[in-house]
Amino acid sequence: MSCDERLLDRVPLFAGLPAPVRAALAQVATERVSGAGELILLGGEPCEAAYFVIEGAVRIFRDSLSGRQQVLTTAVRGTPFNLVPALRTGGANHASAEAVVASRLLQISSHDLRRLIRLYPDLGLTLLDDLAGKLDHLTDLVETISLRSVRGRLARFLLDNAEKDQVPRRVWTQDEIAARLGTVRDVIGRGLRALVDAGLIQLDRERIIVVDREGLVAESNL
Amino acid sequence: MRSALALPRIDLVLCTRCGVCVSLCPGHAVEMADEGPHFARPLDCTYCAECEATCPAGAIRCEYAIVWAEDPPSPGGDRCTTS
Repeated sequence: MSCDERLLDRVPLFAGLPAPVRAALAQVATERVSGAGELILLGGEPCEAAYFVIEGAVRIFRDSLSGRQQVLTTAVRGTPFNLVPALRTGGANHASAEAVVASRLLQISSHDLRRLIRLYPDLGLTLLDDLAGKLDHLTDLVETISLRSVRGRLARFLLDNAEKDQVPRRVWTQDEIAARLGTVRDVIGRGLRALVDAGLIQLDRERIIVVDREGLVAESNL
Repeated sequence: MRSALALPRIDLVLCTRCGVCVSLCPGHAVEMADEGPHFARPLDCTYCAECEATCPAGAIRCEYAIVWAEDPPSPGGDRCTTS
């Protein structure tokens, strides 16, 4: 069980670690290849490992009993997933993970990760920094969901995801937007039409065009 | 097949040829052919996404790029309508 240490270069979290820590990580990490659509782990199952995307993209999601799926995030190159439960003794996977496209991952067992943190405080501090960033994000998310209307959340989503001159552009279906905002596509459809009626956006077949940035910012605070 | 008009994408691998999209398209833009549904009258498609919402197999996608008003038109506007 080991991997080419150069693969660690693709994970920014590991980039600044001292050489002995990187060597130790390379000793315990294994490379895993997942095909498009492959389920990598299942939410609720005992956590066995943390993962780091070195190529491709992985959708992190939860299924509700009613069958609705909420996409929590999409882990792309360089980002970890299933890290939080891997740091706990006897932790369970918080969410399921599925490869969006063919993906290469680094897999480090929960046992090995915690063993290396005990040996190398630099590794522990690096992971704490990442977790602190995630906590900041989740705090913002709780505020967004609890204090803003769906329309306000949709406005914020459009502002956060509007792109400029990027090719290829990230594209979204109404289902995907709904999953990101914790609602259903009908609500997103109505929300988009309301924003069109308010003159804040235009729908131009395959484009959602933000025409009034300030108006959308004001809407996002409602 | 390429079209100058952006159209919903139909995944013919996922498609079961049930014909729901043909029946429910408000603009009657979709027809069933031997290989599966296709946009026989693309100009009649309003991109309303009804086909995407009702496809039981999840084989149809109406995709949106989110852009600022000052952006140039998306180069993805000229693209395959089926895959």
